[in-house]
Amino acid sequence: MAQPKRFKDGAVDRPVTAREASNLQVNEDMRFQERDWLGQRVGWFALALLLLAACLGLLGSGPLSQAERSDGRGFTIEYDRFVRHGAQTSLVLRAASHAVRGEQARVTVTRQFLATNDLQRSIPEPGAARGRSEEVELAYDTQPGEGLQVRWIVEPDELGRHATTFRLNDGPPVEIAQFTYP
Amino acid sequence: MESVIRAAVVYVVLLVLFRIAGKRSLAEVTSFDLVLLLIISEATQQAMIDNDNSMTNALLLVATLIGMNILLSVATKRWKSFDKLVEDVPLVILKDGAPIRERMRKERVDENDIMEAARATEGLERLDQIKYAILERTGHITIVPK
Repeated sequence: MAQPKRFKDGAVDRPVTAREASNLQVNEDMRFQERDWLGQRVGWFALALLLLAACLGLLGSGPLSQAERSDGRGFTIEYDRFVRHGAQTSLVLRAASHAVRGEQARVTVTRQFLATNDLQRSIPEPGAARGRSEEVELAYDTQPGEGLQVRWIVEPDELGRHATTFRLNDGPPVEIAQFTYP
Repeated sequence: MESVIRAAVVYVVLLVLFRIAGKRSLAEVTSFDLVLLLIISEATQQAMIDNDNSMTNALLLVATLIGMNILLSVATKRWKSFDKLVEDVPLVILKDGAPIRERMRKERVDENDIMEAARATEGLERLDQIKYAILERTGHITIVPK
């Protein structure tokens, strides 16, 4: 049992002896109680860490979750690294004017993305969509000399880490990875 | 299957959280604690139901929660150490009118809390009229008068 603690005013705690506790028929267990207090403090600390991680964006949207990937030729994707199952999130696809040639910008995305996410809305809507074996191609109308900015509202459907590859026209692939929490 | 898992996870997480919060966390329900309870139930409800408003889902959730409760009560009766882990142990916090301050500090109770219980249950007026004050597993303070 822990030593009785002396306080500033000279008072000392008189601990309860085992005999007193048994006379009282109180099911006291100081060994367990001490470990329990320790466990509680550890729990508080873990709780604080969890909340800090959440504020930083490790459990959903937040500063550490925001990410941007580019193909190096003017096509960039803004997304959240950490998303939650059933909670809407958005992706912003941006193409500079020099990256968009012609009057259509074709955005290709791996089919897996549409299988693990519910693409609820695309702003603006694509003019045409075409499915291939592994990919889906969405064609957006553009004005000559202007770039493209598309916002996708998606709802993640499947837990875990998912990698998605995007391409603009015939440009190089851009891979993003997202982790979906329950 | 998903509803059962959801309810079970919520049950276990809430159990752990309230255990971390300590004996006194929701023992004395002040008006704010009541509001807190309502908010907690509202927040967990969303996680358990998840867009499925069917009667089957509701019944499954209730059945899972009650099932977990039965399971827990059976397990705590069978294994004493598990009982302590889940339900905590009582703690003597005052002996012969003298508060055991180190214990009270760790449990975040003070002499006013003890006197409140002493007045409410035994009609006592001073600490020195108390032989033992015990912080029970429920978070309530019980008083043994001299």
